[in-house]
Amino acid sequence: MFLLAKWMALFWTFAEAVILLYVRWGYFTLKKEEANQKSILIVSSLLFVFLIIWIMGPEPAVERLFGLPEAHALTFYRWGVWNFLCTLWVVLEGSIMIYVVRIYGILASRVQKKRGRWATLIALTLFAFFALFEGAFLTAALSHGMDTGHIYRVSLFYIRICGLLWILFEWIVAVYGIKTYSLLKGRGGSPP
Amino acid sequence: MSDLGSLFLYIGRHFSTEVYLVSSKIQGLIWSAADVVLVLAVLKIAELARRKCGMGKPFVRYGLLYGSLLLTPLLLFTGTPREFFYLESAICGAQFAILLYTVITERNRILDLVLRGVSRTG
Repeated sequence: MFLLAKWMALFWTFAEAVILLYVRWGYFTLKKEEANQKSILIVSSLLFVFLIIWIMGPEPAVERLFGLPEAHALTFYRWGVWNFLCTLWVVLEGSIMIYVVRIYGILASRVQKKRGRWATLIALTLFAFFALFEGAFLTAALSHGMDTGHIYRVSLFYIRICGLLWILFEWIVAVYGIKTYSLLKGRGGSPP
Repeated sequence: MSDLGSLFLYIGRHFSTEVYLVSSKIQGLIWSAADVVLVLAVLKIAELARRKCGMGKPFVRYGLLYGSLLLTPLLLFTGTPREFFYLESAICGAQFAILLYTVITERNRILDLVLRGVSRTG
């Protein structure tokens, strides 16, 4: 991964995580419920520090880990890291989407049914998909003797799968953003 | 040869850099459009909240957003995945910087506005 990609990866992760924390804080404040924000903030900060060390630090000796030839293993590892980051951004955007839709629900006076843990479900599903994809990909790479070109192209394909989810989640947030603005504008004409 | 293994091999042989670039351009345009609408909505909400406090429009952030909007069509003219990444970094970087700055600096004003909105629903 070249240096700009590393910095941008960390910036996007930081920005999306901060936005998620604020949207979550807003949602629980609106519901007048305890957000448990302090512990979430500590865990998120620790995870982010770990991510910085992982991304910016020296590359681990992966050439013997995967049972692939050295160049193939490095390619597989580097693209695996990037695909993990892509998955992480989809998870963060999916979680932001859940809270934005809920905030709109409160504003629109929808009856607040008991909420499921949708953000957690999205995270678990997507990380499980990433793990299964990479596992099956490694098995295929080993059994079919894939070269670095094959590994590169399959990894690019995974990014495009993530791209479909970015589009879906971001358009949902965009539409709910406009709906929320329209509601607030309609109600905000005069002082309460 | 397992079906899944064959599928990966097929993708590895046929999902070329050219196909990746074309699909990236299409997807990039669609999600950048979503980002523009989303950031515009957030800025409009922030503007409503700022107006309540007697503050003006966040002109610099609008300027950055319109700048990113002007750059977006250039995604179509990128020739390599790396060029695409540079341009996408500039576009998304600006948009995420606007969002980040807005949630950090306007959070209390926006929350106040939303709370007023909720109090009017009943």
